[in-house]
Amino acid sequence: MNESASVSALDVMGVIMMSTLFSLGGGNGQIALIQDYWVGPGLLEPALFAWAYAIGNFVPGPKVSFVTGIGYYMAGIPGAIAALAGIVIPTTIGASIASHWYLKFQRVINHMTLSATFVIAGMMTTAAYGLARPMEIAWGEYIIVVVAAVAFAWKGLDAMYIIGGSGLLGAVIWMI
Amino acid sequence: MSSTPDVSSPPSLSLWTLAWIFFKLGALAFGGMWAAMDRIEKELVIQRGWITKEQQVAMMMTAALIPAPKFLAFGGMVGYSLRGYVGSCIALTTLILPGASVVLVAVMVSSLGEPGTLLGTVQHTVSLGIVGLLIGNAVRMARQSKVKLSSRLVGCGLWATVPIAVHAFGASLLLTAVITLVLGAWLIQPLPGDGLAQGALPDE
Repeated sequence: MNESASVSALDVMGVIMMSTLFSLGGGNGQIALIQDYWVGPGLLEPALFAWAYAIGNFVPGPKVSFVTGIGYYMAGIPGAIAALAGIVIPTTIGASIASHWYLKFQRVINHMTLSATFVIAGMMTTAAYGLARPMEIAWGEYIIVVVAAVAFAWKGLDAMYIIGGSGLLGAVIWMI
Repeated sequence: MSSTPDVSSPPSLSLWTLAWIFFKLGALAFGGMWAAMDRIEKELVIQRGWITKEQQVAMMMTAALIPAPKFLAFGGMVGYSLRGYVGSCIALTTLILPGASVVLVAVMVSSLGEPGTLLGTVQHTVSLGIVGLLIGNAVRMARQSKVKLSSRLVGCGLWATVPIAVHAFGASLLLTAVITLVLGAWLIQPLPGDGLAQGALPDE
């Protein structure tokens, strides 16, 4: 399913590469950048974005593999390959540099991580708002949002269970 | 963390073996890097002896601090320690390949459900769950950062600045993120006696 013909595979690779840099400190800053570049301007349906992200939480290996789905939605199979390259190239460079020169940059990285924690929190809040805005959420549905947020932030529940639970709830609602 | 992985004496092994082992890890490890710690240890430390337990922990900690997805960065670091740049690229490519393939097939065979259908309703509630997950992730990151109280207040200010600047004033997310990141690096201080950055806890 190619939702947009206006985004090339090269664009996909560029945005994913840039977004990878916002994974600093273990944050999912790349979600915010993808939302900002493609979901916000209407190039990608919010539901498709969420769907790819949800699937990414159920597959083995690194959860960032969801970008392959985003790449596919944006530019078909070449987009999926480009998204993969967009993750692999900067990570190879980053991992190699870290292996080689980590001690030299340790202080700078440590200090940036303190700041990045809050900035990426801001980016994720931005993504959450950007994703929710076009969804026309009913008042009662905010309960799902709040329960998911509390379960993750305070109870430490794995994302897989939260997404699975949300999906199950959807099935129950549909049956009722 | 005071040590970095030792990359001085990589054992000789073929790139195929490296690719196969990381492909296996990518296909069998669920829940992210920290959740897969035991499996990684079994495969790389106990069975193969490619790295020591200490190196594994050091690499995992380092991977969490560099600007890249943690699990992939870890794979890249192990690959680099064994076979240099090519090893790094092969290790992290084969690590992500199984999951990425499943995602690709899943998005190809599934479509956007119409409102009112089972798929449409499930996708809608999953989207709601993800909105909550993103908010929860943001809160958890901010809660778990170990900084001075004054720095926490500054950090919360930066946290709020990003969505307000982007959604209320139409500022560029990238530019806002870079500016707040630099500002935060200047203003935010760690807890006294805490020489290490204690940003986000593992959540991948």
